[in-house]
Amino acid sequence: LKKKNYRRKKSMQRFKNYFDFCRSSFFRVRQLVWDWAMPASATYTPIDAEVDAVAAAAATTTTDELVNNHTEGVADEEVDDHHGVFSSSTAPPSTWKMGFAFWFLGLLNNSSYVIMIASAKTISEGGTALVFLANILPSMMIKLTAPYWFDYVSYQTRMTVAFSLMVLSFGLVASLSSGPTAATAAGTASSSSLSSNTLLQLLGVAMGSAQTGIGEASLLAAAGKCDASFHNNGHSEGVCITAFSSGTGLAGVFGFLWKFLLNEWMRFSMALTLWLAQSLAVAYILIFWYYLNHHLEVPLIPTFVTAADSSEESQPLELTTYNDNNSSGASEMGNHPTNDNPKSFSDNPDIPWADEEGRQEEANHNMNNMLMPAQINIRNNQHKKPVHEMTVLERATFVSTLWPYIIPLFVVYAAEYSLQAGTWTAIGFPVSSERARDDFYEYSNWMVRTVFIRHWAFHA
Amino acid sequence: MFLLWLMPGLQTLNVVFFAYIAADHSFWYDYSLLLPCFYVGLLGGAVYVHGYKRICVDFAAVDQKEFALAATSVAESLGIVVADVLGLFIQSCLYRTNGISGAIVSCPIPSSRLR
Repeated sequence: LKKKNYRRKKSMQRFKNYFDFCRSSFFRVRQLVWDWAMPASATYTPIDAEVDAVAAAAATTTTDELVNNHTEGVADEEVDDHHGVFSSSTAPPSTWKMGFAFWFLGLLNNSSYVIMIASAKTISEGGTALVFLANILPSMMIKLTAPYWFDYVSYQTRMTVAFSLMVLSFGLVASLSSGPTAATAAGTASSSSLSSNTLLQLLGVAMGSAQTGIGEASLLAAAGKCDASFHNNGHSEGVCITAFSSGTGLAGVFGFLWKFLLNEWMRFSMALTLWLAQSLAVAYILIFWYYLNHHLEVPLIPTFVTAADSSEESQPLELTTYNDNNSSGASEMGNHPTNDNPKSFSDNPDIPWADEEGRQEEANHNMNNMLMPAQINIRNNQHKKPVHEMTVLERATFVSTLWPYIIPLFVVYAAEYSLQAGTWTAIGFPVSSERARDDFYEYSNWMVRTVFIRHWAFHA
Repeated sequence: MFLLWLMPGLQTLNVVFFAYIAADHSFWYDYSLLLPCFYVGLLGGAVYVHGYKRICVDFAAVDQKEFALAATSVAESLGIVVADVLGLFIQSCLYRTNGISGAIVSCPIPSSRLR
């Protein structure tokens, strides 16, 4: 009997072990599946709704807006649900997914700039220099002033503005360019005096430039934020920034290929080439909403906004209630203008992939002003006070302390582009032949544009 | 940080190198020059990645990191603006040295100084 009992016990034990194993592996598999499918299942609807909402705002059809906002509200609830489940399990952040997102955003963000440069001759035959100027000055002005106003505007708003500018820019240039032959005719006519047509096209180019500026400065900052969270987690360092710069590197090839393949190889008109480029803009905003907005929502805004809010002691509450409204009362949302929508995503307290340390840091940040000013992360405050509290003068001083980074970048790019714009135009075999010079110029620029390879090389 | 400052130095050397090549055809003048062109691109990209990564490491607070990254991104645009102007003058000087017409601006350096 004893033996029998013992055997039964043992089989029970074995069964229990087996059951435990099954259960744990089930959880593990489920977690893997969620990790894989989470953004797809949880965020697909909100993005669609968001983009639809943007489209609806453009169309100004209130009924559509209502419907969209309704779906959005429902979807938001879903998201919250997933989060609730998710935050209990410690799923690791998928670095490759964020890398992928930043790579594509870098590619799309800068390709509009490159497409404009590639089509500079079509836009204004006589004034390519003007096109180049219109393509760089707005971007420069935005990046120059970025330190003073970026923290007052959320990433979501900035990216939506960038998207709109991209659409407008392609649309304006496309609708006013009338085929390669007519364009050259118009170009020769306008080389003496700029027609209003060309001026409008230049405005379009300038808008594209502004988009590149806003996008690059915002996404670089977002990439830094993304890497900060990965770094804390012990994952590979600098994935997001490396991926982003790799994307921007490939944009040089991609933009020229886009123009070359569609306009010259497929013999599409310049207008159609640019209209097709609208799809790039759509992909741009979709990827942002799909990957970044959801994954980075809390880290994206809070460092300044929540901290600034907590000093005012009114906004965080307002934001939470606002979010509640959004998920429960969809009809209320219908009355709000759509430009408030980005905020509704930004205030989710659960970061699914945030590690303990990162969350602690966030929490510290949020609570610094409110509850325990003594408990400050020493590492964080080695430098000076939070950015959002800085005056204009302090910001300028902070920017000026960045010279060890700004100067090398400036020198490298000034040298590289002056080679491209100056020296290489005066090399050819033989140099007296204009064709030979053009050839060398073309080839050398392609060599520089293949730089995207190097980004991966340096990542390793 | 040393590497971050070394690479712009190398890039400036590249400008001098290519200016010399374009003016003096005897030393090295064929399509194999495309290799150093690739190297130019390599340096530019390396500084881009290294610079921003360095900022990420050097600034611990997330808001400062964001601020620094957004503020530093102006370097590229400034570089391009300066390069566009500089490029025009470099082109005009090299065109004159090679006896080509068609430069948009006139070279500011007196011709007696160039060869």
